[in-house]
Amino acid sequence: VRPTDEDDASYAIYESIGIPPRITAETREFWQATASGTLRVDQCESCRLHVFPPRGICRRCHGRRMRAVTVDPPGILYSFTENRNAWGPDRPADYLLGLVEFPQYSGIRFVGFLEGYSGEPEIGSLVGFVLRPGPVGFHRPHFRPWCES
Amino acid sequence: VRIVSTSRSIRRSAVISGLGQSKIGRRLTESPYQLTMDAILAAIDDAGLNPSDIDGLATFPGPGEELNPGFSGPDLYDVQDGLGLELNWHLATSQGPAQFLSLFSALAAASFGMCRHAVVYRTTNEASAQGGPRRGHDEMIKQAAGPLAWLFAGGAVSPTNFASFYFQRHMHEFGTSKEQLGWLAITERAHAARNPDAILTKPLSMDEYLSSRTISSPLSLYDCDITVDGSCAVVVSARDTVSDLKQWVEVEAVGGAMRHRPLWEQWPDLTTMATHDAAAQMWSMTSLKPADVDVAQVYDAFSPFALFWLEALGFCGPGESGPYVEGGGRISLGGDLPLNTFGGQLSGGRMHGWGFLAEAIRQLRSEAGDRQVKNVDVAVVGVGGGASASSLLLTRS
Repeated sequence: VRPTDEDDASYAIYESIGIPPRITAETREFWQATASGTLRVDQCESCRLHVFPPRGICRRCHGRRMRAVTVDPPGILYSFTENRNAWGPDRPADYLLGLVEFPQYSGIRFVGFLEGYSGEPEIGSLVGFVLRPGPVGFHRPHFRPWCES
Repeated sequence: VRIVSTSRSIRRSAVISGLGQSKIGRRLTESPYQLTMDAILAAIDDAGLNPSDIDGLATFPGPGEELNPGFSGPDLYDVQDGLGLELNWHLATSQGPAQFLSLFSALAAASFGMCRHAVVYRTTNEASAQGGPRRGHDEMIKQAAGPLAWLFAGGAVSPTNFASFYFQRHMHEFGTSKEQLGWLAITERAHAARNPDAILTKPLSMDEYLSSRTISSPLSLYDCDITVDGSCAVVVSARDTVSDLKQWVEVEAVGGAMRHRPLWEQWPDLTTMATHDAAAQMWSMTSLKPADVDVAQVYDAFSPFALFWLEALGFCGPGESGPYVEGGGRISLGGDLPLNTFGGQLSGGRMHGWGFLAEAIRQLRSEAGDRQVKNVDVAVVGVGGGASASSLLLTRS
């Protein structure tokens, strides 16, 4: 899912928040996928457990053969926080962060900004996502209320 | 794999023989290295030993990438050299059972005969090094790796953010309220008023607590600990040296288990923490029970951590910590379970876990002055939160 140009402009403020990940042999494909607009996780070919963060090994059966699976929305909002403090000079203070769970993908969770909420987000509600750039160019999911359409 | 207690275990073959603490304050003029020397020399003297008796030295987290300016304290070998120590055992590292990694390792080393008397220190000068409001980890760390990397990459640049994920979930599942949480900060402030070393001592009202500014909801200003400069040191001695010691406290049991994934955001149930694994392991080593504990000193870098510790340690059931602390009576001096009797890190200052250990030792030795709890035979200490925690049960010798 790609955001529109208009969305990009209004959410550019988030781009300064976060720490770029160190890319490793295990995580390179994950970050390449987010840059091309998809959220992809490994699934163990032997026992079908979804493995995230990527390790190249299944922690349940120790299988080493993984296949890449695209994560489709919706996820479920497991928890959230409304950040109200600026964590440095000239830094934005007001934004929502969510912890989103994907039960259909072995319950893996992602941390990301919540956008498009007018009131307080509801734990347990469904969320979709778009992939947006973070600091120094890597891409990560931003979550928003899920609409079936 | 569960460890079962055995009578021929070397587990209780070491004791904590000395305690020393430097001045603790906001922006002290002394360097962190000199504060460390103050704490270590005081601890050695307190044990009735001389520096030449010390043959072990350890600290956590040791040098390496600092999470926050002023977090790590002086280099182990600079400390060794300053004191002219001839060491048989030495360690400075950060990965292991939270803030007591260094202490547990020293207990094991002394038990196994790798050293006779080990000094273990923890020094921080976060207050002066940061020199103002707390900043995000992105001000320090330019590339995220390891267990916090996915939080940092996602935009959660302060532990306040990820601590909030946990407490928000606790509120959601159990109806725990912000007012209930407030009783921790209020009660600890009252305790701090009886501690001459505490940082914040003016009484805190519920109105002040509730109207303080939000940092990351549901946590607000008085839910977050206060950075300080200071150093704390203990001496760990092999049991066969006790005839040389002035005094000591017994280490009944320790816990630092890690039975779940080491990631805050992937922890299976965010109404529990690594606190639960540490506490379960600790209780499995002893016949003592939560009802035997006279005083509890548990981590409160963010106030909800203390609620999680109360549940993990079995002082109340899952989800019951909010009602347990409500009103403050039960956790006050004179209550069923006096908690964080020095003011915790919220009011006593952020010695990164070591203030809790120091206070537990003082309470067991009846040296806690105006805040002394009567007849303390058993003290529990729990430090850490999220996906990293360690605990220990101390008894009077």
